[in-house]
Amino acid sequence: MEARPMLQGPTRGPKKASMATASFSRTLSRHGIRLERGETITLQINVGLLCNQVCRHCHLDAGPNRLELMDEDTFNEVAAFAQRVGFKTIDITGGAPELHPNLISMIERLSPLAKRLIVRSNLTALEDTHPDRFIDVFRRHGVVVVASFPSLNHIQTESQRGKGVFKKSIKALQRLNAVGYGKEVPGLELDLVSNPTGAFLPPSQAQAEERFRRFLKDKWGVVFNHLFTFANVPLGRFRQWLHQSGNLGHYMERLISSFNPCAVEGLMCRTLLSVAWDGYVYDCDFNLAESLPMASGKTHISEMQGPPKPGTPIAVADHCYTCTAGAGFT
Amino acid sequence: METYYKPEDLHKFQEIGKEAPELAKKFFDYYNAVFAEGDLTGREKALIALAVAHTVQCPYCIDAFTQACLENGSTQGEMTEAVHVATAIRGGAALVHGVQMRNIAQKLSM
Repeated sequence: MEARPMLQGPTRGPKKASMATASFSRTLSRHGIRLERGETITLQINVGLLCNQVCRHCHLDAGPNRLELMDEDTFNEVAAFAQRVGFKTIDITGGAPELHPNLISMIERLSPLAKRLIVRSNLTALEDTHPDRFIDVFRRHGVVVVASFPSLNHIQTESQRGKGVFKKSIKALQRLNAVGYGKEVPGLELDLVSNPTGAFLPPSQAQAEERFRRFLKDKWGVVFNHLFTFANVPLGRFRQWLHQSGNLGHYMERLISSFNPCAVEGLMCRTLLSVAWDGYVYDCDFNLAESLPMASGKTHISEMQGPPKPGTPIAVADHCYTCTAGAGFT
Repeated sequence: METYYKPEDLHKFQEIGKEAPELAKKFFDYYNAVFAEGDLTGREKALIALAVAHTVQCPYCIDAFTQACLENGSTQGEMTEAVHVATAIRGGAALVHGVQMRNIAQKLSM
């Protein structure tokens, strides 16, 4: 699949040729790697770009002024597809899913269709809307909550996510713990996701998890199951910030020089199908952000009988260096 | 504006091996071994290196190890404390030599 040139400057506006010296697709070729799908076992549903936060690392440019939300007809197509296929995992993301007016009915409809149902939360959307009502629904359906928690330092957290986020996030985590999330019994899974608060790569996941576990427990009595560290993808608002802060060239160099061919095998795009709020499908959420359709062309979920077959090439562009940097992004 | 220090020069560090390549190889092998995970973690070593970089006031090292500390999950609070450790040792080293001053002053004085 031919790589698209990396965009220069903000994503909204004129597109210029890439300054990256080695395109991702050429790097794959040099290593003799073809990036192809394996068995698709996860359906990731982006229910909309409406969000209560304006995080600086957001690859989707989500925010309070984004009104794109998945309508009922589109959701019905998505649910029908999920029922036809029988995914192992369904993953609801956004924006802030809690701001979608139909999130609860979506959870009720999707929960019987997969062994594992994930809802991603920035924690403040949970805390600011109907926390007890949502948490009760999550608990009853055994929803896996994957929550954003970038840093143990409140100044760094708020530099990325906005004022007051740190304190609200702790409160939301304590609420989730109170009903059993993050504890061995009753087995309600609560995972944290940490993105770096700037133009640098994340630390070792294992070491970060150990530090987060100790610090959150000792200071706030908060427990969780797993911590995932993810690099920031140079798209959307994060790309704008990289450009405005003069960090874009350096960050791209960092990603390119950290390319790890061993990370390709475990890439999430190999086993995941992403569907946008409008029903169009992508190989991953980052390709969705970039409006980069699958190799077979722009496809709506209503046109698909089943997931792409194993061996189908995956659409790539230079933002893919993010997922193959260091230990990778799975 | 002319300046002795340019950030892009940090990337040219390996070029020092163009003259005396064997010595450069010995140095970089040792350097990489020092910073590998050992009884101290990579994160702890990066914080130590950051503090030492401030003590010797090497702008290349400060640049490199600021990035390394961030990528090892250190917070800016921790990194600031490390700089204070450097400050305390550097300042303390000056101050403790005041004992020498006092010894000499007492010998010379009535």
